[in-house]
Amino acid sequence: MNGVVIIGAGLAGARCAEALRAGGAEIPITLVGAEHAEPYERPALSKGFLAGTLAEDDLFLRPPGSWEDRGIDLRLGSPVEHIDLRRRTVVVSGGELAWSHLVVATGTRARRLPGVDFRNVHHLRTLDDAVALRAAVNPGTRLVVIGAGFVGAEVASTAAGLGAHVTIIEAEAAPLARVAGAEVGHLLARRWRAEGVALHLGSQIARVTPDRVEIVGGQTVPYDVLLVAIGAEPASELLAGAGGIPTDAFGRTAHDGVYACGDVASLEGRRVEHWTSASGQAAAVASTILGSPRPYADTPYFWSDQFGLRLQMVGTTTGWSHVELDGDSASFRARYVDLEGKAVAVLLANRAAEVAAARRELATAA
Amino acid sequence: MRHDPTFWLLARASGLTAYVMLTLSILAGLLVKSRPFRTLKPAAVVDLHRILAMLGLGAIAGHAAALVLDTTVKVSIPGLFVPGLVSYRPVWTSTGILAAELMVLVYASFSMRKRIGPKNWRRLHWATYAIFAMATVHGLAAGTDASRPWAFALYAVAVSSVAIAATWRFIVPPATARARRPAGRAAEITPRRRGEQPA
Amino acid sequence: MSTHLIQIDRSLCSGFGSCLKEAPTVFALDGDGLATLLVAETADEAVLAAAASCPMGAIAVFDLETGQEAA
Repeated sequence: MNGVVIIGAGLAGARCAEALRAGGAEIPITLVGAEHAEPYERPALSKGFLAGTLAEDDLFLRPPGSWEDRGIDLRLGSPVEHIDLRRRTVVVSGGELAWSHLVVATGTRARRLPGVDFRNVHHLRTLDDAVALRAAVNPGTRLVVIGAGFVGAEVASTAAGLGAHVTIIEAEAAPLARVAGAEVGHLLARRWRAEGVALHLGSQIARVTPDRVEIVGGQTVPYDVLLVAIGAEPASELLAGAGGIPTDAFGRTAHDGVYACGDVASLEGRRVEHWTSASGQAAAVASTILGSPRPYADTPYFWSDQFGLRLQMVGTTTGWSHVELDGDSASFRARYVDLEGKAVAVLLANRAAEVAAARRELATAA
Repeated sequence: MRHDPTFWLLARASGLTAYVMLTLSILAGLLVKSRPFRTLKPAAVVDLHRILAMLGLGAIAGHAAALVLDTTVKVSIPGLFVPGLVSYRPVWTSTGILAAELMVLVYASFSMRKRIGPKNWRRLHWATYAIFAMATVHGLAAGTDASRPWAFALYAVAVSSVAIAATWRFIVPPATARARRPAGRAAEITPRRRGEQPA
Repeated sequence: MSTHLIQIDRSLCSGFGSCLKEAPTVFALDGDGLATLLVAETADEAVLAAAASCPMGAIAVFDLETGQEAA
């Protein structure tokens, strides 16, 4: 009897497998992952794991042996080479797996700068990446981060806390500008600088050598360790080419019996790289496979811990015309409001008490 | 952090052990007076009674240590001694705490018998029934295993044997009363009439 | 059906609130916007989904029988 094959043993794949078993599915469930590690928490890689306060064992989603206990066949270190939609199999090195339901949860890959692949250049996506980065960053290390997005910011913050000398180089005029807008971005920039990080904004990369970064305009930034944190691209080639795998609200793709969830999935035209979306979409896919389909319709949410701020964003910052800012760089609420005065997103900094209310407001508005 | 249930399981095992020791100690204590087996000397039974009580207290100490070390249910050191501090089933946990503290008192009272006087010591000893009742309630209501058939059978056997032994002790005349009759009384037989043969 | 013991690590809680949605008879948000328990023990299997849905991993669920972490 062919069961469910889930490609990708990250959060979405793991949650989907768990939800299928918890929902009473008795068919075989195979969870296939390219990484060698059992399913683990990725957000911790740039936070506690990099800081050294969490060990590898603390990251796993389930204790060792739990997957086998639940009859979930876990195949690690097995990248899938090919999906055969007609014969309903997937090809891994070493054989074929037949499926009656296929879930693609392959996530994303860290984007790379062409030609920048020297020994001390790092990216951060996987546990292996994090282990290498943790070993490289020590007190006094000159760390340069290209990209002032959330991963770059968190690594910068953690590394600064470890005593490294951190410089961030960002092409936009303000950090997190695309997500947070200029006003909030500048607020964050002030905080980052106050925490001791050197910030080069509006700076394009001219050239990267094994020991320094040259910025357009002449400045040179030497480094011991370079982190390229310029975003991620979906690993969707198995099914859809580049750009994410399109699905409906239930996680169904254009192919019968084939689903997608997590960072790789473009749900009703929108792809996000959020923990809660991966987890929620995985549950939706499982419920659909089990025969009581429940769509995933939650408002997007993510959080980031950086430079003493817990940032929490509810909603998506598209279609807003102005920001209502309350507070300062130690604690604030930024409401992103459209032309009709309706909030499309709320960004909170150190205001956990307001999250639930923001989620309620944006859920009803959606 | 990976969760290790070892101390949780040890806590349950030591709790049940303590209960068994307590039960056996009580049974031994009850049988001192109403010994059904003449061959057992009272002194030996008293010793057994006290040893079992001591073992029971030892098991309780183990039970307490395992609970503090366990990470499933949060028990602080003050929580071991002050009833109501532990958030897990507080009423039934407190019952166990009180039973244990009373048991320590009763056990210690033996060495203080001379100071408190035999009559007060005996009165305090009656508290043993309260200890047993509270320990039983604690085991049934706060204990994880109480719902299992074998555990429930254990409690049933313990309670009924204590009930039977207690009833026996108060109904059956104490063997020691017969033994303590002065030797002289044995000679007090019906005076023989002259010429009659002994009966 | 086994009994589950639930614990919330409030230092991890970020007030996201998915736990209430999954198991509204078990979780609530207090005045600080952080999660709090309405009951400490339950046989309601929904607490497992609630623990899985927490982005901060602030909820621990123990199986009282085995002492093992169920979620």
